Amino acid sequence: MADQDAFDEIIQAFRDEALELLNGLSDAMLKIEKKPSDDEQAQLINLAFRYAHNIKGAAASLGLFRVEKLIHSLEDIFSAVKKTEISFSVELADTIFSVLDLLLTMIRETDSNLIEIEPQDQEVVDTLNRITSSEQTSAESLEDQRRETPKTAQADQSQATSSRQSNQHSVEEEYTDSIVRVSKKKLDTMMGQLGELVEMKIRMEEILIRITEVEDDLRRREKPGFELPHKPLRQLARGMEHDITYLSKLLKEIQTELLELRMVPVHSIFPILQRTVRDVSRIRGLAVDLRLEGGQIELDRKIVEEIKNPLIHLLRNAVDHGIEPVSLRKKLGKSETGDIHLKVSHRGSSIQLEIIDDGRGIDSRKVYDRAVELGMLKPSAGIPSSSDIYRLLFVAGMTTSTTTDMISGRGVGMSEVKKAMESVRGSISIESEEGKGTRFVISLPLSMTTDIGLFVSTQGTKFVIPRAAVLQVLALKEQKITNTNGFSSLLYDGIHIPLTVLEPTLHLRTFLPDADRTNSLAIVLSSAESMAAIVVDDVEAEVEIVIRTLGTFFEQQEIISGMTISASGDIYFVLNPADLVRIATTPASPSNHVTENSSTACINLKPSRDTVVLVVDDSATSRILNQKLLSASGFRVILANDGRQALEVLRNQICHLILTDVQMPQMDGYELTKIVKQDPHLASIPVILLTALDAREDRERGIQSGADAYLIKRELTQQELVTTIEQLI
Amino acid sequence: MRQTGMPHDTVSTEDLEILRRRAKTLDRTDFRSATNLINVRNHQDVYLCFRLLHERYGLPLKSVLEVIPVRNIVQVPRVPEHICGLVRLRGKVLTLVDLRRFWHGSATGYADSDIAVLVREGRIEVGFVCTEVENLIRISSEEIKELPHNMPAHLTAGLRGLYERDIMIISPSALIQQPGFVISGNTRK
Repeated sequence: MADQDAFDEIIQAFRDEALELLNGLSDAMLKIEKKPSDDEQAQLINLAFRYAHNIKGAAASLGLFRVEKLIHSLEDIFSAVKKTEISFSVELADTIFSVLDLLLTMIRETDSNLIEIEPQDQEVVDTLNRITSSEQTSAESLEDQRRETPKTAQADQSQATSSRQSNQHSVEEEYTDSIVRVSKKKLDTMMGQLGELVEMKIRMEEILIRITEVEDDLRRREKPGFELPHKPLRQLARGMEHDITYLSKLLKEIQTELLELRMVPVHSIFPILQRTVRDVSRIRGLAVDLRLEGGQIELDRKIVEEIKNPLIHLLRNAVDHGIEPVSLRKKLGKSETGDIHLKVSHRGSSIQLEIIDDGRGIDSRKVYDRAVELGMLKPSAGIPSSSDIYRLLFVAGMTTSTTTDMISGRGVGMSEVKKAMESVRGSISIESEEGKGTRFVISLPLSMTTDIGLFVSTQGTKFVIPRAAVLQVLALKEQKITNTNGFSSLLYDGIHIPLTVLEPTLHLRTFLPDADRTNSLAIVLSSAESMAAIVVDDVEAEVEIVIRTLGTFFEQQEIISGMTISASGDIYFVLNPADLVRIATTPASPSNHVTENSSTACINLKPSRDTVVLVVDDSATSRILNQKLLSASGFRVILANDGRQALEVLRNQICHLILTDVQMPQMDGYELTKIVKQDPHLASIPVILLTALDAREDRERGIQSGADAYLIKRELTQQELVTTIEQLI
Repeated sequence: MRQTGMPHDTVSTEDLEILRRRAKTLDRTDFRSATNLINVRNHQDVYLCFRLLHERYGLPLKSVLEVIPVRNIVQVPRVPEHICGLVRLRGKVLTLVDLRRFWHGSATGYADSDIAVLVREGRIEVGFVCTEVENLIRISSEEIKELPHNMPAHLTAGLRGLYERDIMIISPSALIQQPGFVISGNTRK
């Protein structure tokens, strides 16, 4: 019985999806009809093709072969138009529209027993076949047609008479459904306009205060026999106050309603998850039960859409890699049917999603061996804790399965799952026990648009950090901080975590390398795989914020996940904790040896080169910039403040290349180069002079000092720098 | 979209079909845009001519949405130099770009401007800051000359050509396609 219910839900989900796609398809057709430019037409055709392809896929998975076949013909037409084998004419559009109407009816009429109805208009089908066969590329589908057409025609005879009428009817019904789809963009615009209304209200409040002040003033100046009109003014102010109070209430309500418009219950994707588990376990011959809990919890529609595919992937993995065959389960004393539990629950301001299976768990030894094989871990570093090993599963390129088949080893990998979660400002972690099972914990914000944010300020600029990512705020002066070669770390819970200053990370012009930080705060952030602390001057408030995108001009902006607009109309950027942590923990230099004992340091999450570059610069900004540039390209970096310090480093450490500034106190770049080139032990190390001086005599002086390359700061790109280094070593 | 608004028991299927076709034809004719009508008649396009410091540019009027006031620019961290920042306008947040800095880099300094020409190209809306909006000019495509061949490629990116002596005609679509103009996530890799 319950099974049938689930099935009904699947059909309903398919109908909804297919109808939406059909809408999109017909929209694209209408746009093409308006004779757009060639470029736009090509894009629209591609779009139409994709919509068609998606419907086809969905129909095929449910075994709706008639729908699939019709859509397939449409795909043929689109690809023919794409290849300009046929041109887009009004007649062709008519046919396509008729086919879309036919499909609409067929999809609507598909009942829970999956009995498909025949295409109701044979004329359209014939036209379609004529078009597709005239530009037919594959002999196979031609063959299909010959077999199919007479049969369809015959079966259709009885219904043919009523076809047009009922078709027309259903089309109209579909378009006048009581549910209205509203584009996200429109909602965003409305949110923005609402924001301005709120600002207006705030201005009105300010005016009210002014009026009250004037009224006070008038009253004070009043003397017996000399009356001033403060009473009517007071009445006006009262009236205004009343209106403002009412307006505030209304605005608040509208805001809440607008936000709710974007929410959908999580169970809207349950059917497809059920289906996935069922299909995979059937193919693998396993007995698995998927228990779903907390489906009534609502999430932002966008988040639900974004996590659908990652969840499918996780569930597929849980069945395929987790659940043991029945015989083995019996032997192990487990229940015959494997259990996968998907649980959705509220966790403060975020939503927690758990996927728990009682399968074989993750073999951490196997993951470790594979990581060593792929060069992600150095065998010399010792075996990290299993939680660190599990984290490796999220690194791109990591896979333990050696075979590729329909179920595993294709599609989105775990790194994609993590990326998808982070794209909606969520995070994911793994716990596993061998022989007992695996548990994935996904944490998601309630909404893409609202969040609780921590307003932090640094050197006069304010930013917002999502509270969910903040583990703790600490006073910097009370912390144990280690500074080595410009790389700082903070001891938190017994672990050294990287400590970075916000301004250089954000490339702010206000950055003062020597600023007094004694009263600063450290904000400990956690992302899915790591922790880091950032230094800010102050934490001002914790406020519920509405997050907006930066707009279409920014397809994706590193570090900034959006912005929020305050009541007074100021724009504040919302920082992306995952990016902050990633930048802070980017494997930079051997100088973070202070953290070598901790479990995080021995995991080199980014395959790095073995080349060690010594960066010499007296400007902290340049040092950090070059360090970032180089470590982003996989180099290991050591830093020095001037020539003298550089020589000291060279005596104690192996360096493969020196990148030095020219103008420095104590010992400048020319002198450093000369000394290095005259020292028999060091002479072989290539030296690059990186400078703002681009006069000819400066260059000549550089070459005379023995430098291998002379680069001008202003003109330098990361690529050039890397190429130059690669040429020299 | 494909509704007739009439009860169909009073209209025959054939009539419906005719009405539908007629509606489609009407839908295809774009009466809304006056510039389109001008184009059809004269084979000329209307360009909005603006000045940014000492340089003059022409933008196809059909991509121009409006000229907006520029106040309280908010700078965005970690963006290339040509992005001046964000401004608010009627509930929208718009990105402002300094074209001179896109072509000539930071050496040019910031243009001090309080207006911007808001342009839409595809789904992208962007404001070009300018010193002064000069006029509207009608130009046929033959009047747009090629840019001097000795101009370095990075300086001609997104430009369609030259009109008269010094008006550089911008092609918004080409400009937006220029690598690095729009902020995409690729900088991460």
